[in-house]
Amino acid sequence: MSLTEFKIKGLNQEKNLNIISKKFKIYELKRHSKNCSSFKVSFFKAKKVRKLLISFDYEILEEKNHGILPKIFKTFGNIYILSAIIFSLVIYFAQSPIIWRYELLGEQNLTQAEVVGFVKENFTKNKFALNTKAVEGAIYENFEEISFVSVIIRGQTLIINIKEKLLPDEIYGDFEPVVAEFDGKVTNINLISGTMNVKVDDYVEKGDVLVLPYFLDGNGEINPVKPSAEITFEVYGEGEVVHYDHSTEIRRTGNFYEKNEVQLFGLTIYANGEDNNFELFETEEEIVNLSSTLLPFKLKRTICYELEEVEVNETFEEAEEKILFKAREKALLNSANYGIINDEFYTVRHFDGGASVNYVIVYEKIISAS
Amino acid sequence: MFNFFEEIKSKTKNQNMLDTFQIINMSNKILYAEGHKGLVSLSKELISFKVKGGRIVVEGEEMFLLELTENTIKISGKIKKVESF
Repeated sequence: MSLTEFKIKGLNQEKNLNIISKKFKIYELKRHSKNCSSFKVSFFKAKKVRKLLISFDYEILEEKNHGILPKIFKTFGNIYILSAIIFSLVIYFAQSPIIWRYELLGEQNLTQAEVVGFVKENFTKNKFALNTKAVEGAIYENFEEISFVSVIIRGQTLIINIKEKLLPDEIYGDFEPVVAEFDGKVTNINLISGTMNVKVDDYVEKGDVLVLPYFLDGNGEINPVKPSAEITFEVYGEGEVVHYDHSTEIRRTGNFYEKNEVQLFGLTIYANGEDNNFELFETEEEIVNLSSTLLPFKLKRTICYELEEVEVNETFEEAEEKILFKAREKALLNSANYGIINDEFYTVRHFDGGASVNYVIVYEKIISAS
Repeated sequence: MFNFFEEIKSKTKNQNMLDTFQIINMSNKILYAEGHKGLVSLSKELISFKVKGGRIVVEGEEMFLLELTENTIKISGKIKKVESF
């Protein structure tokens, strides 16, 4: 209880205390001397009692407050501050039962919007009225992807912890068809899901659609599905070499000049070697950083090889083995990532003054889309 | 609710004579009185108050009024003597 203590000085105290006691309850009334006494009254009546004491011509020697309320009033004496605090407290207590935040943990394929949206739509935001067990049950019932769910309220946040089932990927998202990555002939098909767009013995080009990302059900409706198949192809790698019976070849004679230059910022500051005097030549250059120095010096080495034109007279029959080898090498080069070689053959086309060889390597390649 | 004074009154034949004032002394440490008509004097050694048809004088040491209302009075201290005049 909060009380205010008065210490007063004056005459006829008994008479006036009787008057006061008729209106207000007096506590701990003590007489200190003939004209001096002290007593306590309720903190809320102190103002009126003070008025009375003054009207009795008493001298108030001391006025002291006891209890919590006077301290609160003293601290928050300003009515506006007190009002603001009370208003804040009212707002705080009014909004404290409301769930403001929703948090979803453990989602993989499901989204926050789906699960949280469902909870917001179907359950109250009042955390005291919300039955978390009911929320758990409803989520579990409505989302077949969920194998485990727990719901807790922490402060003003509803935390939904889920664990999703391992469902096949084809349930989710849009699907892309399987397309051919190279030209070839379809030799075998093992369809797992989807709809085939080609059949065995079809020739396909790179980019052609092989498996469509849907299947038609008994009612003729299209159902999206992730296409999956293992398709075997016969792929051809070709290489062509043209041979002329009479031709001119350019060869190195074996003579060369070598020139070394030391450069700094592209400018030659030292050169060593001979100048090139060949009529027909080819050059090779090599630039080396001289890293042992602080400045970016570079050493440029130029080698000039002398060339000569040589007339070659060789019939196809004489050079056949060499030409076939070259054509096969080319065919292999054109068969990047080739698989198992099933067959290889070549065709020779003769023309006046020469012949051309077309070498073909047939190999098996599998597209496995899943 | 049990009321001590009402209980005694109910067991007394002439109840009218009990309608003036009631006093109870608790171990000579607290004296409680109902139906007083005003404080007459107050000091640490003597407290007196008016009642219907007379006056009550309480003598003791270190006495003070624990409570004072329009018709009740509660005295605390070392009570030595209570006299009615």
